[in-house]
Amino acid sequence: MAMSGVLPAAKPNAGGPILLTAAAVALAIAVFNFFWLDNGIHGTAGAGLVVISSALMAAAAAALVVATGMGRGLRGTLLVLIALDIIGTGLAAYLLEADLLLAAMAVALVGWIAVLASGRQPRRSSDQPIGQPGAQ
Amino acid sequence: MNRLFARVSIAALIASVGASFGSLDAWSQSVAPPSPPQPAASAPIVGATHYDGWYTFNGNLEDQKYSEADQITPENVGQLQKAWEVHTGDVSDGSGKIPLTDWSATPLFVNDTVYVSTPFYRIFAIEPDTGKVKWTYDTHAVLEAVTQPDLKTRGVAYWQAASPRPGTPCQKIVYIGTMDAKLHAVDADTGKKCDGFADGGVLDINQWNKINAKWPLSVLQPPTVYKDTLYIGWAGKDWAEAEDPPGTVFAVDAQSGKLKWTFDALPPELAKQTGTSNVWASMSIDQEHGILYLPVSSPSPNFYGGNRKEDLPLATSITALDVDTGKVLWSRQIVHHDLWDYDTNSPPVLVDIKKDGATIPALVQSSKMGIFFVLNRLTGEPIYPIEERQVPQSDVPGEQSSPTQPYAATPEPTVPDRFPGIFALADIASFGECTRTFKRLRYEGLYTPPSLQGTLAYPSTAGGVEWGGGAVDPRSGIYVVNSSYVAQIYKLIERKQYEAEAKTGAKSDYYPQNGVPYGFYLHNFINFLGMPCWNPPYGTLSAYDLNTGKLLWKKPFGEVQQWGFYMPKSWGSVTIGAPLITKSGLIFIGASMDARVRAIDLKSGEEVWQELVDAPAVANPATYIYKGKQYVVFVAGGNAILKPQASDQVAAFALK
Repeated sequence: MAMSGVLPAAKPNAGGPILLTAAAVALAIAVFNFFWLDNGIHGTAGAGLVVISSALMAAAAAALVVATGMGRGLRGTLLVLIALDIIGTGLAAYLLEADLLLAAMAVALVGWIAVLASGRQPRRSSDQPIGQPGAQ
Repeated sequence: MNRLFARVSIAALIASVGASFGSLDAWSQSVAPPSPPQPAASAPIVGATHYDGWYTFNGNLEDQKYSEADQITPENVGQLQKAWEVHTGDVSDGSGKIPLTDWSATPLFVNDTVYVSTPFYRIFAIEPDTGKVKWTYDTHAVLEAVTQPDLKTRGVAYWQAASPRPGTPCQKIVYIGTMDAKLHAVDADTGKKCDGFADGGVLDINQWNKINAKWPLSVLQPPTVYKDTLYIGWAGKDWAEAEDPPGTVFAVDAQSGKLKWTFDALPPELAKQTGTSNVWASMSIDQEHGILYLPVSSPSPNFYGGNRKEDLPLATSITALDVDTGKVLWSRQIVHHDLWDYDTNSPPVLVDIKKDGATIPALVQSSKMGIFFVLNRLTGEPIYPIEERQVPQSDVPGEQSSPTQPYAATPEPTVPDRFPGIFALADIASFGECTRTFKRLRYEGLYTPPSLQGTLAYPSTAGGVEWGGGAVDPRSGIYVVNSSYVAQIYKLIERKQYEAEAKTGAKSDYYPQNGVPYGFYLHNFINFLGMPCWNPPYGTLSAYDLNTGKLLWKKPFGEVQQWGFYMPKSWGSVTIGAPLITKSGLIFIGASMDARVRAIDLKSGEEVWQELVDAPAVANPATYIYKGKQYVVFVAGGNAILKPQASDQVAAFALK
């Protein structure tokens, strides 16, 4: 279908783990920032917001990595949501002047691009439908 | 008087008084012919120019906020680190029985000790190199917001005998004032009360509060100390009444607390029909000539002057007194018949400037309007021209506004005298609310009077320059000052309608002005999201060459923070508190909403160091050298005007 090659089937590369790791690290940083007193943002709504957005990102990234057999539509939706999450969390991190969190979002973006790029690689076998279990 | 109200994220208010009405000649001229007194006979007890310490609220009696300490330089300031910090425990977020704390106390360094007062009205004596607390003194003051909306203090004052006798108590005294105007005298070495001072060590200033005594006086600004005299001003409760206590300044003996003389800015025959014109900000002293300079605030009520149309030439003025007698030497009114609460709210800064080949003893008075009045401090005559400008006239029945107001174009006012325009982002976000509101308001530039339809006040009573004022390098004549840019809506409301509106409206927006036909509505010009409706910046830091009157640089200062998010640096932040300057060419300042303390390169205005503290450091900082090491100390206590964040932190920084 039209999405194939753009919003790809799961394909093993480093993208997913990078994204997941970056999201997990971001979550840890966000939680630390929320509770650590000497950072100027602890306990604020903004700091709380990035805790939530990072957690959602980590969950979505974990789903991408673990649930390799998910449908293309769901996978595509997840990737779009993750992209929005990265942009939003990155912007929030910038405005919170949370540099480590911003760096984590940069890494997450690399991972996301890698995930996306993995879908553009040629299929190993033309008779295996995209997105089916065992396709990789 | 000073009162802080609004709790909005971006701006807010302060308060006090203002007005005088009379002949145009009286408005535009100094009140008394200049007659400089003879130089003081002996040196002051606490020298004004002991630059390795910080003996007064402003570092010295000239209110220069200048230090000759030069160990910390623009090159090494990046190595500053926290040397010590003290948490006093005296903090309240206002959620319980104790009101919110606004802590603006400048720490003093004198007698080898750092002294600071807390908003619970205790004194902390701290070792200057370790932060170890030597002693504390508790006034046991009632922790109620009897005049101000929050608990606040601006610090302590210090006196010592010309030749202190070792082992004799109270040869060195620290003074602290309270919200109910009890002035406590405490031995600087031991923290024990000085029983010989007034009534068992406590002077009740309210014993002299006898005219229109509808509320108690508050001694929040530490007294000015010169030789053996304390000069005491006070703050009160603004915007509530038309007839307030008259703003008497008291000169008392530093050891006995006995009254020496008083000064009143209001004529006695008018004292009952108006009030205030008090001195709630810091005073300064020319030690050579024995002159005390008072920043006199405006009369009551603050936003309507129909009850005080008489000539009140000393109201909203800079007034020079003989230190020994309290006799007026000269006075210059900076706002005629004040209808905007444009108090003279900051310390008159004394410095000699060089102009046209001559050295001139000068005084710089900053203002809430953002205008700077640079005067010959011996005569009150302007060094840079002050013109009388035609201003918009009031259309409120019963009011009679002044046809002109003083205006000094040099040095360039720190706040533009025109509204900077509607902030498109706030307007779009509020679906045009900002534009719609603006169209409903009366606005004809600076000094547009309050009206029944609603007036846009820019700058407003929130400033402009706030109570900290500026700092000056006396060697170069470079003057540095932080400023805020705040637009507010002023509206007079006929009494009956006011009573109805005030019942349903937000409490922080309505002020009764009992005794005149109009109550008052004051609100920050913000949209329903709390975003300011006017274009940034919201605060700047500026440097001027006083020898030429030229602006050297002006930069947005600090960052606005909302929900943790920092807005662009180009917006700057509303500021409270003041800078200090060191000989090495550094400016140290807190003041901003973002709870950071900073060092700025005096030459370029570039930030060269910053550090996060626990709350906005709205107190003036201090610097000193102790055992060969320079320290910069900040009180980070917060102020509800900037954001709802309070702390009890005193933090000192030094090189590694």
